Amino acid sequence: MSAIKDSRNINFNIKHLRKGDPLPPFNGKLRVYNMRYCPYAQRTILALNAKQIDYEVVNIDLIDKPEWLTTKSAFAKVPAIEIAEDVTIYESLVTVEYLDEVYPKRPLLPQDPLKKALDKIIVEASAPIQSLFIKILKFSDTVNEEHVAAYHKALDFIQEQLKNRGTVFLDGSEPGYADYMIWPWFERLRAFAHDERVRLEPSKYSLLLEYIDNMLKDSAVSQYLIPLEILAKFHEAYTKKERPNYELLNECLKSF
Amino acid sequence: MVSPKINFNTKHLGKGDPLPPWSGKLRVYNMRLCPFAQRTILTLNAKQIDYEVINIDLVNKPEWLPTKSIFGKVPTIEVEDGVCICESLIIAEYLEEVYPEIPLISKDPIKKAYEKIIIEASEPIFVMYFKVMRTPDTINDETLMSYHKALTFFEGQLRNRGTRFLGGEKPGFADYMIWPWFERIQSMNDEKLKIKSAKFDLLVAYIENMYKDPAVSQYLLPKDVMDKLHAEYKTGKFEVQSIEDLL
Repeated sequence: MSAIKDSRNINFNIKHLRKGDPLPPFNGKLRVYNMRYCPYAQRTILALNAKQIDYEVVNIDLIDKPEWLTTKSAFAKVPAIEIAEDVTIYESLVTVEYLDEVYPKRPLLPQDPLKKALDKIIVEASAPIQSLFIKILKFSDTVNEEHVAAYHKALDFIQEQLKNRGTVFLDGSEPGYADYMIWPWFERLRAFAHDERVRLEPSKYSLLLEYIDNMLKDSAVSQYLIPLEILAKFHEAYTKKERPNYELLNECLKSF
Repeated sequence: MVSPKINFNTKHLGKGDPLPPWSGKLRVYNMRLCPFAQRTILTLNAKQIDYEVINIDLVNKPEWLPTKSIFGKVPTIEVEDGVCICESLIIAEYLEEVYPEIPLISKDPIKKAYEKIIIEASEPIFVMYFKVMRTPDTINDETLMSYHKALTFFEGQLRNRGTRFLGGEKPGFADYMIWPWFERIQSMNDEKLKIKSAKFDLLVAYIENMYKDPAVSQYLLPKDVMDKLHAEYKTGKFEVQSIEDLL
């Protein structure tokens, strides 16, 4: 798997800034406005890691947003990247496509226009996986057979793509755009392995499960993984309708 | 350059209708009323690419549709016999790459990113349109606020650029991707949707200019067709047996 020697020392596990916290001054380094547990922001982080771009993270408290957030991200969402002072780009796929264009090392999207289109189609096809995840997390009672069927159809599609391509990852011998853009949800579904609606049946999804194992070992992914117990604890807050604790990892790491 | 004359108004093919044999020409699987498929038609028109239209009866889908469209939806384009690409935005980006002669997307990576951001930002606009048409009871203060925020964002983008269209002096990618919603909003006489010049003077002028763009004007839907479609949804149940009933 990926044996990239990574010399960047990115601190992902810093305090999530909230209302009243000042905006850290821009110091010239590419900045990601992030939330440690956000799957959409994770897409940007994965692309930056894979392309070994140096960057800093500013974590945002999404429940109690800092006043200055809309000056960086017009829709007050994460991710947003600040590429020069006050020059920002937001919307996860837009940030990744921008980075892929501007940083040519380790291209994530295929060069061939048709292959590129097919990669993007795979990401679109993963939409039912994203929507089932958020429903199970926040509105578990509203999950019906249709949602679960659409989820399985999406998994079948992705598995079929893997099978047809015959490569370790969707994008070849190393992960690429399609792999990284769908990964955040595969990572989170592991925390719901007990839930029958979500669980990947080994008899049905052996190729996909093998793929997930391979992705876990990829360095862009592994350096940003959240331990399953922490992820489960973070998710618990949503099911209990409590305020999520963004500082779980920071608290956990401090205790060592 | 004269645009090739395309027949948009062919019969919508349904169950039992055979797949027309591949003719070698780029093909769009379309539905005359579909705003997403309209994005593809506008792109092709603007880039003056020659193509043929196969209209699909989405109420009564032909058996062969999944072989052309992974998700069974329109638009999908067939670029070679059996080689298809679906999803309206993906299609537009593909066409831009393969037919570079009349560019619609900015070459500058930051400007390009903002064109995509504006398209994403337009989601509340079509959400609002669909709600007004199909489920008006679900419209609440939040829906209205999101809608107005999106219009404000759009107006702001027009103001910042100082050009007639988002794409410059001629419409570009973002203009064509969002146009189908503006066309439909204008055709509905709904107070909640109405874009008023008091607040959105640039947007109102912009819409008037878009109507005149040749890529747009050759594909405009007649008002009576739009009214029929909207009336059908207002009944609460969409009971047409075929798309042809609306045309």
